[in-house]
Amino acid sequence: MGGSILNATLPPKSFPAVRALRRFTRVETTGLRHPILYYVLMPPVPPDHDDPPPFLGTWRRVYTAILIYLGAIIAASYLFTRAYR
Amino acid sequence: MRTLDWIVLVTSLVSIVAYGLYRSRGSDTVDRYLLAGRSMPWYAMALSIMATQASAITFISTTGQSYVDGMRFVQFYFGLPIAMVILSATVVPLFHHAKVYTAYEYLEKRFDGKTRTLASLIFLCQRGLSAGLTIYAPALVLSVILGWPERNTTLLMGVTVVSYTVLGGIKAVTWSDVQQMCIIFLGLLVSLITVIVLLPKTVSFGDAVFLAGAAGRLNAVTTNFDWNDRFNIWSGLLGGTFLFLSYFGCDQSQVQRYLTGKSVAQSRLSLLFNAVAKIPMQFFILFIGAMVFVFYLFIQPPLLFEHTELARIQGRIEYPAVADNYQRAFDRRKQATMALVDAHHQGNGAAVEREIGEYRQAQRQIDDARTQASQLVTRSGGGKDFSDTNYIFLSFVTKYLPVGIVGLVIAVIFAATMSASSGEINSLATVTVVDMYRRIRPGESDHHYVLASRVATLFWGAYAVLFAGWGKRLGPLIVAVNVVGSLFYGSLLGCFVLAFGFRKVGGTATFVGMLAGEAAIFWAFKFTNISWLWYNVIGCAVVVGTALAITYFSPASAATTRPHTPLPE
Repeated sequence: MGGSILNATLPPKSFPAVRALRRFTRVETTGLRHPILYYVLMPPVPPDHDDPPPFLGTWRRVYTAILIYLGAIIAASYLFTRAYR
Repeated sequence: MRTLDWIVLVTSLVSIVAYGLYRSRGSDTVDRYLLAGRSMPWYAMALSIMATQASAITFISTTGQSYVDGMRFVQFYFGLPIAMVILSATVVPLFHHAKVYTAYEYLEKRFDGKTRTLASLIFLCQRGLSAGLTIYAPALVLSVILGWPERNTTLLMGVTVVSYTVLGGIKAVTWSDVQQMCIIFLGLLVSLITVIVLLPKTVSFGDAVFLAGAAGRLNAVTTNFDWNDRFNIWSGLLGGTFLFLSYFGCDQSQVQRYLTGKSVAQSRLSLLFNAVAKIPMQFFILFIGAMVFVFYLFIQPPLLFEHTELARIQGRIEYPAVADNYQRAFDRRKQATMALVDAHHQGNGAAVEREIGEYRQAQRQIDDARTQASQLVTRSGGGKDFSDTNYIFLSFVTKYLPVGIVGLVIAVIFAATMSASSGEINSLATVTVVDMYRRIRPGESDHHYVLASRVATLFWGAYAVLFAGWGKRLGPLIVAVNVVGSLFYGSLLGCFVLAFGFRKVGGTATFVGMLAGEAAIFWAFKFTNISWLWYNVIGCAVVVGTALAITYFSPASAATTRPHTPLPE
């Protein structure tokens, strides 16, 4: 398996800057050889290397839950500020 | 401080230190002394991470920050959950599988020796300075309470922390952190309840929250974007994310915490616990500061909260006029506040608006009087940028909290400092020995390196004590400690971003990029008004941009690139 996640999202006729970016991010999609953003979207190492989390089944779901929680905290803080402004 | 307070304080501290040392027995090898034999459970690491970050500065300065500026400081932590998720998914498994002692050890495997050395030096500079600030905060407490010179109290705290750290290693640090966080949570809860109980009988909790809001102290979220504004939602989300990525991903004082984990899952859980718990905790502490402000709407606060400076300016010829203005302004504000509460009870919107206007005018007079008093301090030989923010909460605690609780709150502050300082000094010693000394003198015995670690701990403890004297000149401590961090973190983060994300970039390009990043940060610090939260973004971007440019225009530099550190099977 090879290629970069950026290869799928960048336009087919690329500008020099885009080609340069591709050059630096062209990596294999196994093990450690990921661009950093790729980790946000995919588990960084195959599941058999890591213990699963004690809840929600996968780490990806745990991360999603935490980001939803952050959104809720910010919304609650915003409403709190408005309520007592 | 009365006898009961002293009993509570001494019992708490002795039990914490004794428990930590008891749990640390057997720390006789480098692996056990520096990484606890990689045996720690997630909850111990989680509380230790939290305790290391929540030093005494958090309690002393954050409450004061809320008193003078409201709760908007909480936005600074909005980036933390994002950073924790990114780190849990990337850095944690990477470091665990690479089986490194320090984060910078990984850089030599990925790049080369000079990049590792530069990153280690940047960490040692930054964390050494911060360690001084961490010790200065409780020294401040002792000096206010006991009336001792700050120099003596700094020395006392430094000696205690260093001896404890030298003896116990990281296991002692971590287990005492667990106990300390329990005391901290208890102390916070008791403080808030006590503040609310101390409010006048006619003022309910709902009224207190209303008053805090009317006074602009519940401004938890501000959405306006301004490069020069330190705390708004944008700087918190973006700048905060970068700062916490750097702090938890590149700062050995935090990395070392989760490297002690039994497994990747345990280390991840410890970080994610902080992602969930940190914002509510900070919100809670800031809310205490806002309630202290409401308390002082009814009880006259001192003109300056730092009583030694106040005593000094009382002999000045200008003082009586300033004090008189302050007294009149306070009376006016108190009257407006009482009228505001009445109007609020009656649901009279027009009267509420009118009294808020009256309140604000009185508040401006109070602010003016305090500014004049600060200028008097400066003119009478005090610090150039005098600020008494760090004294507000302590002044309240020692003057108004009941006997026993004062001792508990002081114990909280001491416990937090001991854990934060010992963690910092321990990590400084680790980097010194693992990233510097062991490379100069390889092949020595395990016992030799443990001894070297203890000597390094002693050295960094002394360094921190010497630097602590500088802390007073930096204004609010909670801001100062983060400013110091932001001067260095951006470059470290950029280096690790290159290590993890750009495999074609080599050691030389990264090394030059880091130097350029540091130059850019210090330029922004010295010559612009850009808020310090953005330094991390600027530093990281310059490091990555410079290294990419060098690699692109000089492909030969990539020849020094090493393959990614393989995962050990």
